[in-house]
Amino acid sequence: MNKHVIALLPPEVVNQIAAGEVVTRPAAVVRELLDNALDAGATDIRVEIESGGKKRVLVRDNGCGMDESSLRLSVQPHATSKIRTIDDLQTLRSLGFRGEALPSILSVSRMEVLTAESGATGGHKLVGSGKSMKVSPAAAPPGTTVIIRDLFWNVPARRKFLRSDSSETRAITETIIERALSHPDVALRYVRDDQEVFALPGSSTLADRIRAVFGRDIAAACIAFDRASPSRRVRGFASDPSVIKSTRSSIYLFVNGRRVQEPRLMHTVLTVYREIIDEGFPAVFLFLDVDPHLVDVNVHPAKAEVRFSDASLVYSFAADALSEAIHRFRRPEGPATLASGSSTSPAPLVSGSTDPSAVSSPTTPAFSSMSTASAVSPAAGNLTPAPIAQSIPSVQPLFAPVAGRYRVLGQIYRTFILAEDLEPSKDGEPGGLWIIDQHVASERVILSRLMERIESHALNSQSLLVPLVLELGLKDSILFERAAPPLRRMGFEVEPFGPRGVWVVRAVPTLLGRRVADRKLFLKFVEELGSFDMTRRAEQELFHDVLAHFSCRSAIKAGDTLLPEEQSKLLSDLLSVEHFRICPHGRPSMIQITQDELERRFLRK
Amino acid sequence: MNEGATGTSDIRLEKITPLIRQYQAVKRGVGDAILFFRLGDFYEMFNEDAVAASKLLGILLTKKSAGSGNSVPLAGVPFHSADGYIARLVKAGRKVAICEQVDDGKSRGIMDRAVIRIITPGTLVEETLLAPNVGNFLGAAVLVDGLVGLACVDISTGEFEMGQWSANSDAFINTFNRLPVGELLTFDDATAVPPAVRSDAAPAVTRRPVMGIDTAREMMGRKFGAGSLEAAGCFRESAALIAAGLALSYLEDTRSADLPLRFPRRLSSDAVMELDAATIRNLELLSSITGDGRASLWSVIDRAKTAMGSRLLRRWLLAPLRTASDIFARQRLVTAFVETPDLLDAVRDALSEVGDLERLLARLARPATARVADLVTLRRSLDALPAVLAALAPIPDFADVSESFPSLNSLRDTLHKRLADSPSAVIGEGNVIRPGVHPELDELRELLENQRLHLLKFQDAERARTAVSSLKVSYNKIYGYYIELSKANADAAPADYIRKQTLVNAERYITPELKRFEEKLLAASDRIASIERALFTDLLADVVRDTAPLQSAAERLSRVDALSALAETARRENYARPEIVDADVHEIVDGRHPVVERFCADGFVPNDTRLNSERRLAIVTGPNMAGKSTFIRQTAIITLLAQIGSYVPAKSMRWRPVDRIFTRIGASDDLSRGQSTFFVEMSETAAILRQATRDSLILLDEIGRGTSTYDGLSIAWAVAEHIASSIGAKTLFATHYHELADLAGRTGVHTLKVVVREFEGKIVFMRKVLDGSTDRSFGIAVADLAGIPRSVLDRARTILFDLESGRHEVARAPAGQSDLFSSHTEDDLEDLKCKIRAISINSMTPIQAMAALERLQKELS
Repeated sequence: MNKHVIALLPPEVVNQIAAGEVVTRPAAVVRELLDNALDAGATDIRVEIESGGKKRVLVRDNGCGMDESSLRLSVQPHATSKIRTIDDLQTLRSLGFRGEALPSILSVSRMEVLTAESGATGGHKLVGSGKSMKVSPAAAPPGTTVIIRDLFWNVPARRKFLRSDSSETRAITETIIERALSHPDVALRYVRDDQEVFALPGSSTLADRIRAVFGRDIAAACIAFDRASPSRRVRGFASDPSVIKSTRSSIYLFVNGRRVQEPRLMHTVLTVYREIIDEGFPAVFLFLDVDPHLVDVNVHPAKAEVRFSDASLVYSFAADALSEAIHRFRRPEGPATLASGSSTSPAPLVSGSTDPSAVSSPTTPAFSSMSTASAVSPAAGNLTPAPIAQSIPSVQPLFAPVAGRYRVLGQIYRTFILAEDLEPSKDGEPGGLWIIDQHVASERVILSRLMERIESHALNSQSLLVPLVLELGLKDSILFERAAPPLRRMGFEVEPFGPRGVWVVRAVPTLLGRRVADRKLFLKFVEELGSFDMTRRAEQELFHDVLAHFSCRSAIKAGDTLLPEEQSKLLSDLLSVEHFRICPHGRPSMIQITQDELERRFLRK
Repeated sequence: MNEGATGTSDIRLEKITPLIRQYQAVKRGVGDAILFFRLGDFYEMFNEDAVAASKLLGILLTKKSAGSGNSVPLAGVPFHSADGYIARLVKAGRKVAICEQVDDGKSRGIMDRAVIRIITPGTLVEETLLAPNVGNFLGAAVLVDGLVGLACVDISTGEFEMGQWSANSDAFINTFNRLPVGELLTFDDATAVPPAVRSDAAPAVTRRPVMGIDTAREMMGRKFGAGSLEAAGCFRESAALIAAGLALSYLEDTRSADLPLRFPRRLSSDAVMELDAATIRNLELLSSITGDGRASLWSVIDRAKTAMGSRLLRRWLLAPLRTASDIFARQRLVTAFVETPDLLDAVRDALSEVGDLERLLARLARPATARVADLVTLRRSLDALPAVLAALAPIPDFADVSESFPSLNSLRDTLHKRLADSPSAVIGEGNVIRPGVHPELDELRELLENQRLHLLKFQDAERARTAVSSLKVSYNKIYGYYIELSKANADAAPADYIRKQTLVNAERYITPELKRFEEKLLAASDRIASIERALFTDLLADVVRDTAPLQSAAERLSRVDALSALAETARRENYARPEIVDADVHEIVDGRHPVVERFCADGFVPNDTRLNSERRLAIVTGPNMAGKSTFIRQTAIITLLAQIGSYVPAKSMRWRPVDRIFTRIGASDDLSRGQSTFFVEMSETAAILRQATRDSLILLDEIGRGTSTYDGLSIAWAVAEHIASSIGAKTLFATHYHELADLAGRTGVHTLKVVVREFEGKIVFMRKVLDGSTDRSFGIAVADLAGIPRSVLDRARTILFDLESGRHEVARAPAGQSDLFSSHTEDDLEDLKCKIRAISINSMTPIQAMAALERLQKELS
């Protein structure tokens, strides 16, 4: 065939191309199906997914359903019940309108649609994949059920592009949550891999939904707002300053019932919040309703972007309403609100772009002294790194970099050690910032050293000046007896010392130190022993657990202040140990933030 | 040489050890219970008990010397792991008697021992032996003067119910079958054990000596106060009274008499709907027909947060209400919860901290079963109470619950003051009572601490004295505290060291000073144990003093819990509030089967049920598998849910409460009972015809299936006619006999069909139920679906055609029936004889007797 002849594309190929825009991933499929369900007037929707939606997606609704001919048409491209003329686009209030969803999905999956109109004596089933389909009568409850299987089974290239199951699942969950928030009157049930994630009852309010999905604490911290003008209305909930999130993922902005990613609107919200919280993000659930003639939603197939014809009016309207709401909130103890701003505070000790406190995520109680923060920046919109007592880095004399490569910068929250990696990465990029969990690191070091000593029979025990007497009781005593051999292997000296389950600890491994000769520690240990299945555990496993327990308990803890020398020593000890990246419980000992990431977060890229 | 394998009868008495003699005396008093005889750290069993235990528990059977060369079989279990073994014995149907040492070991000779508890299937209180969400009753049934008296006691919760009926009455059988009876007591000379006991849950039967009414009256009077019993009319029903007395005497014998019991309640069927065993099974209320507990109505609605709430909900399920006012009262409370979802959540959150107060009270009432863990649970539950009450306070309908809630603050404070934060499970080690409560206890604990340190100082001193740094002061069970020196250093032992034990590498010694220390320590240890035990007993007494308010609190909490469970189900599963009306209607719009809809992958197709004064009996036709059974079951289940005060899985419902729900569904053959399917079918149908009234709801599925076609059809026809014309109950009658559709048009009779379509030669079930009737049987089409070969099906179609064209026209007047019975065969006469014999005159009214006679006459003519 002459490849330069122009010919019409076969319909299924058209669909597949269109699918490329509409059906990008399982979450997009769920989005389209949910929108269809909502537009059908459903009051009860069920969503089931398997393997991140790649294997199966089911959306069942109790909406108006379809008759046989509608069912056949529904999978034809450009067929929709929602608009008829281009003018309808202007007055569009429905969520799905492009008529591309079902046929697109059909072209890249195995689809089954089961539908019946209410009051009909029976329903119909459509089974199809790729380009073929077949319709037959079938039993169906009133409404529509769409089952999508094996997404992209016939487009391997696409399949490869999909992310991991958990990634896709997260995206789907987010889509469902969005609709749970925008339609609280609709009952929503979400089942993931045969596990029910939530079952939200219908006829709820937005407040009910926030409570059910985000938890009682966030819900209790939310302030309501609702402001209307002749052409627009903004309403919803915004969190008070007690809620500080590390990302903006708890900010939900809706325009005419649909969630949008509108950078300027987001910026407006964040600006308002900078007045009262200094770092971190709030939880906001904001619904903007505007005259459909004044907003263009045809911008993107994912329908996530919008353009307002009177943008700045809209933004300031929203900003005012939000601002008024959150300033209604009065902190019980804080003297410094926007109004006073009279208290002084120490100027930042260290400034400059390498100030570690600018990059850490402020999710810990270190930020409880809010009053100081807000007083520093009375003008709205400043992101000044505020000096909070615990985050002041200790002043560093210049030490030689540990292992020739890491420059220890300091300790933060008395929990983490910060170090700069001086060695560039393989691609020539600068090495990044390393954050080390001091407890995990210490635990790892102790455990490894202990193991080494035990294996080379070079274990030392340290006799206790005052032996530790433990009254365990009969039952616990029997458990302890079983744990005694591993303890002795580790270097403890334990023996029975009295009737009714009394034991004495005479010596402890030198490596662990006197820290470990603590009654509470042993009692806790015995408690944990109780939950092991001692009868079946292999000796080796028990030994490891005992080892891990004591290493953990005798390690440096979160909250311990470390001198700079101690910080360096810990880091160098850590690096000298095998498997230094994870602790025995599986938690990481150090994480890295590359320069790239830093720059992106500052929107420099 | 006597090896006393089975008994010690051939051993001369004076040669038996005192211990064995004591054992024999105790054993005589416990009958066939396996006696756990406490010896040191073990419970030991002898003779036939040992043999039985060894077999049942898989423990070692050994011997014990019984004096002068004789020995008895012995088996034993350690004291601290006895619970598991006891559980296994009880599950195997044996009783277990626990005999403990009763003094503190200072008496001369052997210790005193006494039986503190006899554990029988009907007197369980232990958590490990009871299912948390089902009650466990001890039942007593006696026959007195043609009346059967029944008393049921659940000592784990304190419930006490009694009643009497005429012997063999359906009411008695139904009542008995809906109570979870774990053990049944009867007189040992009686022959009557209720016949229709559920075969899968037949309780263990224990025979007891006959008791007269005077003894019974006296026992009841002692337990509950004669005056109040008189006032409540409990003394009027002698059969019930004797049964109650029988139960109480058994409790006494099993050492369970001091348990708190609530004032007796009358077991009557007036306010509640009786559900017979067949209905409970057919509707899969508690478990599916295949025995799977998850596919039952119970598993769908049980969302209670406490075990006691669960048990109450289960009782409600098995005893639906009959009167509109009762139903409405309960429904109103459920609605109050449904309409305030945030308060509902708050109540449920608070309830999750509340434990099973009912059962733990029963355990705490006796030192033999009291556990520290139960006190901890009690304290935690009392701590959670304010949160529950706070969540209820804003709801007006629950105002009375929160206002009149018994105050348990002082008990809660006592528990906080006296019980340590994390007490150990065992009493006597000094970790149960909080420091600061008992000065002497605290002093002794400190002394113990100090003595131990003292001992270590002693060790240091001896090390210095002997100049042996490796000298150790240690302890073991046999020698107590001792000083250990390695063999190499043994010569350094001073003169006052007394050698006690020689080991391979070491020598062990004691000194008088060391032994003095030891005595002090042990004395302190012992004193701590006894003080703690006394304090614990005091604490228990405080709890028991508050039994009445605690039971009242438990009752209210379980009610709130059960109601909240119903509300939660209504919210989560999208149920609607059913409307009670006076009009004679029974309408369900878009009803769904609550259990099937859960497991239905393709979505459940809802259907309407419409019965009223013009449409009383619906004949439901359609092929098998099309959904007839599900439809009629769902109607029953939805009605039942409505009548326990719950919301229902439907778009809406309007109905007038029914007095009974009867079912005859399914073909589960009772071959195990030696009865054929057809006979069972007929018995169940007979029971229905006997008891149904105009206000009942009847559901029949495939009557007449277990016999030949003409017989079956005829019987089905006659039954339908009878119900329609004589009884008048609202009925759904599913049948594969599409000829029955011809009954339609008769007063009150109409037809429904399950919609079926054909598509490309195959049959498709639409699962919709509509008015009208199927005009043919779809048996062949269903056979096709099942995979019967084409050739066989074609032949079947031909035969069908022949049969249908040469058939009797059945749709004539009832007189046409006589054609079928025109030839009286031997079998028919036998049949008739059976029927005559089966009539129980004693339980019929004269009018019923006349009706029966009329029926028999009709059959003859």
